[in-house]
Amino acid sequence: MKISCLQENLSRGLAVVGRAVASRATLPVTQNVLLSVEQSMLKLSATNLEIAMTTWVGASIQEEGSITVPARLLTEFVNSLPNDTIDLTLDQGSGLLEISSGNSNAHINTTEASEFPPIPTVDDGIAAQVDPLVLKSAITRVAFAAATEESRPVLTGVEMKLDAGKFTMAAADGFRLAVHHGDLLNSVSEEMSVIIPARTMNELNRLVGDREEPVEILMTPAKGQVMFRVQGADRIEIVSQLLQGTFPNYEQLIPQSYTTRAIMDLPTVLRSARTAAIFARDGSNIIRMHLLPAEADSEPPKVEISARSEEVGDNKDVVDLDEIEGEEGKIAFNSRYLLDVLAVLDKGKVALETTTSSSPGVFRPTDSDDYIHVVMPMFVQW
Amino acid sequence: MTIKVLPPNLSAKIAAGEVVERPASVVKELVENSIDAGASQITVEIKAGGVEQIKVIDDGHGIPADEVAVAFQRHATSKVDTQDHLDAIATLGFRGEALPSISVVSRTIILTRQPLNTAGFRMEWHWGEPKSSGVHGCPPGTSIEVSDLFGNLPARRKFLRSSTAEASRIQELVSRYALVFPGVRFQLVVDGRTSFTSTGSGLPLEALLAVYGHQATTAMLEIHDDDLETGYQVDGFVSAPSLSRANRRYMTFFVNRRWVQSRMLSYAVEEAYMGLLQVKRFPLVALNIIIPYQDVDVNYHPSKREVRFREENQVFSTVQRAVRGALVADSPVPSLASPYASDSQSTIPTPFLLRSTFSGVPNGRGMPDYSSNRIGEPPGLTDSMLSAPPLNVVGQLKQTYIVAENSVGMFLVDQHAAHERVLFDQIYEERNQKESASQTILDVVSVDLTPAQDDALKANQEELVKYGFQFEYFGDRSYLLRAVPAIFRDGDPAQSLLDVLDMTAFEGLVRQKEDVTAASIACHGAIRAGKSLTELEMVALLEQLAATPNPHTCPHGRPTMVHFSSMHIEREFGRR
Repeated sequence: MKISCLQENLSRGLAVVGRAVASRATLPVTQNVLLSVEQSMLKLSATNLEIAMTTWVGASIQEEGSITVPARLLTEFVNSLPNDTIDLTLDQGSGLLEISSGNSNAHINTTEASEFPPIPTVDDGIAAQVDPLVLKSAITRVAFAAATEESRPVLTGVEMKLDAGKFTMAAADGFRLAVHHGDLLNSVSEEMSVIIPARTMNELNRLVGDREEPVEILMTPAKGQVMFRVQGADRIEIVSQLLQGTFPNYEQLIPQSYTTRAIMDLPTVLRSARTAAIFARDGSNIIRMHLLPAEADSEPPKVEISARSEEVGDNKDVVDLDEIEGEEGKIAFNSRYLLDVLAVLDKGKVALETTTSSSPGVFRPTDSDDYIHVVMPMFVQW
Repeated sequence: MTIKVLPPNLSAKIAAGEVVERPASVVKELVENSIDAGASQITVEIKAGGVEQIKVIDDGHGIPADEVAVAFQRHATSKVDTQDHLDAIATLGFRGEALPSISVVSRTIILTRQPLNTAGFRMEWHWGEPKSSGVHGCPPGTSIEVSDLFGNLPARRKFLRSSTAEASRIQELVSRYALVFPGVRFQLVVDGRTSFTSTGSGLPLEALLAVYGHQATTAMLEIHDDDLETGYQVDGFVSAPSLSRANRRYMTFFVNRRWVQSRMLSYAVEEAYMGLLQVKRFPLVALNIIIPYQDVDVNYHPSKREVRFREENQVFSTVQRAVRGALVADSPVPSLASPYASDSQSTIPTPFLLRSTFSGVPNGRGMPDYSSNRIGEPPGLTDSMLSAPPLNVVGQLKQTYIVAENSVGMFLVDQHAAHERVLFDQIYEERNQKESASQTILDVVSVDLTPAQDDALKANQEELVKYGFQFEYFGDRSYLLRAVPAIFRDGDPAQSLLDVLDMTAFEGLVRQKEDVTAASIACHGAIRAGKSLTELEMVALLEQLAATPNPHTCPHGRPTMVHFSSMHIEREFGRR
């Protein structure tokens, strides 16, 4: 193998696939990155056996071949080089990869490409295309609600359902549920649903970045895999194992009615919730929300957001509501769950729908019906 | 009121009260009869804690049909016939009081057949009066069914505890007999569910396994000690010092295979453990002391729970020696306890400590406790050491212990125990402030419980709710779980309930009710040994620990930290 490429391109490629390099390796070769030549380009691949990432770097190929080298060593060395041409030459006899650029010259021990786990490819299956902005927004609003502990594996994933021209993403960790509906750019022929690890979704979100080209999704539930192809200045493929199991039937967990519906200004209520979280932190992390209809016509309806800790003290913010429908409502949330949902909704207005203080609270942005977030309350003394 | 002789019916009831105190006493009397009848299989079935029904079925040698009615008369027994017999009682029963006493306070049905007879005999008694009798088919052996216990003594019934509590006494009793009669296959059926069985294989270890479970069994030491001079013999099992309990309930003694309660024997065992267990910790013990029959008086208490020894001192020293011998044989360095104990008074250092703690050599089962005992106790560790110079984290050892130091030396902190203490205090405080954080669950889960878990749940229902569990009965040991304590947010809610119940069931026998639930919750929520911690996490944990009122022990009484004084370390390196 003998190739030349630009330091800048190689460095960027390594940074991309570096996210898939195994950190603790049961299979040591997974700490390596696979270099190979494909379609007159240098192809970089890495896998931790759960996610595999592949990207292509423009290069001039003098001699084809493939080899694996320790990812961290290569990445750090390439990053330390000036932005110049890098020559990569594999000495078949010694098995050393020579890397030279300007005055620098290094030899790195390699492991044969045949020892690298096969990088799965997804060629067939259901293909869909989605607008990168729509995809990013869906992942941002959903993936955080997935469980982080492994005790119930399916909950560490995001359920993604494709149906005609629509997709639905849902995640739940046993105490909250986030559901987002979005449009596909094409229409799929068959309805399909898979559970994708939340980690994959977060990586995808990061890689999509500010690209404008549609993201391609290829699902093959039969093989237990999904592939995302990100286009743009460079091409990246992420292949992820799917989580096996049955995702909770969340439709039935979304309350169909409410007794109180309060519409609040997001930045204002987020600020108050953050203040309350400071006090909740030393107690049980409980933030109470007391929704109050207007007492007189001239007065606006209000929400009291409060927290207390026996040791520290307490605080209460009274925030004007835009609107309230129904009666007075009381509900208490874990501060993290409340802050998480308010933070991803970010701007505009949000409606909080409650029934009793022991039934779920439902958050919906007022500007669209795309998103529903259900948070289970905490039992507290009022 | 004039003085008069009580009518027989009344005096019988009074006498019955001495023998039959509660359902467990009925079971005890009947099981002892079965054992005396040479049974190899004994099945005990109880309903509603034994108050509704107790049934004891054996495959013993049965009672001849013509003697059944006699057996129900006071002081009627086949086990003793002369004064000489009474001086050397080899059977468990002998007073001839059990059947009459039981039949006076219940409705009793006896079914019995001698193996060589073709037909059995059935007789029914209601409140001490014979109701019906006659030939009846039945398998060989005797089955006695006692229903509506104390139905004619409402006062006694009122003093009975909940049926779960009575059932657990019976369970304890049956399992104790299973320990000392490993050749008998015991089966206990509580409300239609088999709650305990022993194999009856004759192997004491199998009986131990059935009673204490795998984990405890592996930590038990076998004792077999013959004193040729006195003819006394001590057999059974004691726990290695690594395994201990918070009270004496797990110390079971038998004298000539008769279950007895004896302060003297407990004391002898505790003496043997001197220096090996922490203060207020007690071993698990199941010992049978075999003493020539003439040297023990079992006719001392109507329920035969207490016995008298002719040579009390002899018994004491035999038991103590036997137990100590087993402990010493197990311990890799028998002299360990004493030299180290003297170390706190600044005498000879023992190089063993460092070796055993750091070499990672698989040390004896008892090892961790030796060190904790020596060092976890004052004066090794005082509040001033902890709070005055705060601990600086040095690192983590075996992903289990935090190595920390301050000006008085080095500390090893058990991360699980330390976190448990922190959580326990937090949970306990929240509960007292009625602020227990209870997090409702998105997707209500149904949880199936084992009988033991079910019992633990019923016994601690109120506490579990106070600490943040919300559940409702869903039929047949299933519950719908709606909320869990907020500290369990990261785990599987169903699993957290099961774990807490398991721990409660286990600890519940030995601790105050309230603490059990909190301790179990803390234990489940705490970080486990084997989890690697970042430095920030370790610092935070030590800070939180220092802020608790009782940082030195975890809620189960184990030490959270072990101290190695600077003086000691310097001496080890020959700097002093």
